Amino acid sequence: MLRYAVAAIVVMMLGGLLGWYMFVNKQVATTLGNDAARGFGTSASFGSSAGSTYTNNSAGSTLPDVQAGTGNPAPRLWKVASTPVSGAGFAASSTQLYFAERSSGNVLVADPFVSSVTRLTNTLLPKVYEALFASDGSVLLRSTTDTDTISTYAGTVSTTTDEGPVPLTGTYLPQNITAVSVRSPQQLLFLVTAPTGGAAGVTANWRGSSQKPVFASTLQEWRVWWLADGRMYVAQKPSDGVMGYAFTLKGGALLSLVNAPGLSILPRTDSTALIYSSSAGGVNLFGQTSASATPVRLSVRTLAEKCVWAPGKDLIAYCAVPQVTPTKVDYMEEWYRGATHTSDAWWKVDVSSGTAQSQFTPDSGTSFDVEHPVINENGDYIAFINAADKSLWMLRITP
Amino acid sequence: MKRLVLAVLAIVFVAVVYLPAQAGAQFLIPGAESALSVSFSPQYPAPDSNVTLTLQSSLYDLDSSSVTWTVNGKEATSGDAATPVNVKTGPLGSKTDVRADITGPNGSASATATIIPSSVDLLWESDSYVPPFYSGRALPSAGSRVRLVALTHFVRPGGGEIPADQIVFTWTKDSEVLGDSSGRGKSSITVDGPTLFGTETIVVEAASLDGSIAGQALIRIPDTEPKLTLYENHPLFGVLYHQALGATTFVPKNEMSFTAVPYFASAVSSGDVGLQYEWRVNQSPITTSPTHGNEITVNAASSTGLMALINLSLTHVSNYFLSAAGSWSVTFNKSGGPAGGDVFHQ
Repeated sequence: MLRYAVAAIVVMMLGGLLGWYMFVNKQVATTLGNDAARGFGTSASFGSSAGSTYTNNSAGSTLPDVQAGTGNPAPRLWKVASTPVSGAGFAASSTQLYFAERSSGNVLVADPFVSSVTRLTNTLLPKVYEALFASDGSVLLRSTTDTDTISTYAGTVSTTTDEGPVPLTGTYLPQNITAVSVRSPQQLLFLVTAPTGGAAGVTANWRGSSQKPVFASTLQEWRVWWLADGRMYVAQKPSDGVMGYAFTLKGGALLSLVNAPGLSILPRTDSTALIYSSSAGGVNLFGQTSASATPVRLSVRTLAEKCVWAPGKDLIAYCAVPQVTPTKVDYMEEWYRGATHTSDAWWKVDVSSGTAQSQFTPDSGTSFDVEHPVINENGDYIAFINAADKSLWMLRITP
Repeated sequence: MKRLVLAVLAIVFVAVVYLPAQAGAQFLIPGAESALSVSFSPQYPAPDSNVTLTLQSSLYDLDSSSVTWTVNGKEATSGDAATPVNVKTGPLGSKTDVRADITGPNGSASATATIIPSSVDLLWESDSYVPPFYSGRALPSAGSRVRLVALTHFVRPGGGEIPADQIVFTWTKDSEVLGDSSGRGKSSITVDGPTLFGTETIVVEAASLDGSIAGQALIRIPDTEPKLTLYENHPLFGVLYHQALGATTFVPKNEMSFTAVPYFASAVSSGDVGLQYEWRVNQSPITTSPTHGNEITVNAASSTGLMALINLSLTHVSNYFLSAAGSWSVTFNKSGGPAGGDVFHQ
């Protein structure tokens, strides 16, 4: 009897061990499968024939600390950076252009007079998707996490660069700022957050403090502008064929500015002139010389966000116009998704007369799809990002 | 004699005062004084716009009558009473008084109306998913919800703009009044989005508390199919949202990580626990991380072929209407370079 009991116990123990082995083995297989799906165990990217981080960093993924210029002025169309950048802005009263590297968040400055690019900061903020500059080089670096949490770092660049790149000093603003506008040169911010059930807009200083509420809505998706003259605008995010509304923000009230399907606007500082575009089965661009003037459809067909107002009293704007007019009914949505790109040429638009003339057409070997154009204070240089690869370009307006 | 005189005077008084009144009443058809009216088109005139005025009457023969229109006290036009006329409204806060005097075989009559222009903007957005920094509008797909806001522009003549809390809003969805969402000051609502392949029609009517100013707005919101878009997830630059991969793509590398973004899907994030991503590479199912189901890495260094046919289908555990699929043919460069400046593949 005892013999049978011992045998039964031994069999049960062996069975248990076998079950445990199979269970663990299955878990290991699952884990290995997950790891393999994530790329673990595949050919190493570091230190292999593909190169190392060090060699790669010195070989073109990021720009060198100092890209010594030729000493000569840059060509009229200058490709400032081939690697992706996250934003750019001109320095005050200068042709120097600040920009931020997408990979590192480092701030660099480009000088078209001597064709040089110099790294100003060395603080690593990886994967910066959006950068906004004030005219003194202060920068908002915006990134996101795997869970779509948006972070915004408000940094200030030291002007002392004799000793090479220096750390970027600053502070993180509250998370999930969905829209932001920089009022330059005052270095003030118009921030929009999206708490549950709507959007709340505040003004703040560069550190995000001294907040004053200026805007509230039960809708969450807004674009905002805070111009140097203090005027504020908000507009719904656009979609082709969907009616969009833009408003002037005054004393917390929304005053109707313009509405149109697929609406995108470009307000002008020190003026109530307005450029806006409508996308509904085709893109049309409109100009308005003042708030009370009748809008005039301009002869060029492009999005308002591909335009930039020139400084000065004349109502002149420069617009990047697709050389082949987009005909897709959902062109704007595809453009925002990165699913379509255009090859643009620059046009000079006189909103007062409603006329446009060609300003610059790239040669056949060059193509750029303009986004985020900015212009310097004198109005002689335009910088823009090529939406197709996020490279940075600068165009001298006069030949 | 005195009594006789008083009796005669009483009879005369009754004859002079009372009987004519009775006689007159006999010739006035009940309701005749309101038998002529003016209708507007559009019903709620906008500022600085043309309004078509039409006379209506069930009593008077308008085809045989003539009319004189007076606008703000000045004679504007005259002619056939059956012919509509156009009047231009003023800006917000203005008032246009209109009077129509008709003369015809049934007699004369007049009607008055006051036009106070108004406008109602109906703004909407969806809570469907779009990635951070996406510049466009989130569009509704089956299972998502839609937020709407009515912005009224009601200005009293000689007064200020009427705030939303002094306005009664009546919301209608597909001809059904949303009683709980309607009422004084209820200028915004959130409703279920359109059904699969459907279109929601939302109407909001707004009126001031005294009813003197009213307006209406209507919007049709169609269902949008979620757009599954594939991007490279670069180790240094992050997700390359600016370069959606086309149906056929060549990559100058032997390895690439991909991120799928479910634009307009009813989800709070691309890693929403309710979303189910099913990947196949060259027909073989791929297991993904439970927390990053929208990401895979494909390595062609040790594979026999250079082309990866990536198929992805997206469903939802509880929203059975959510369905999207995509297919991409990606050709790798087995040697891993040159990579056109890519950092990991020189």
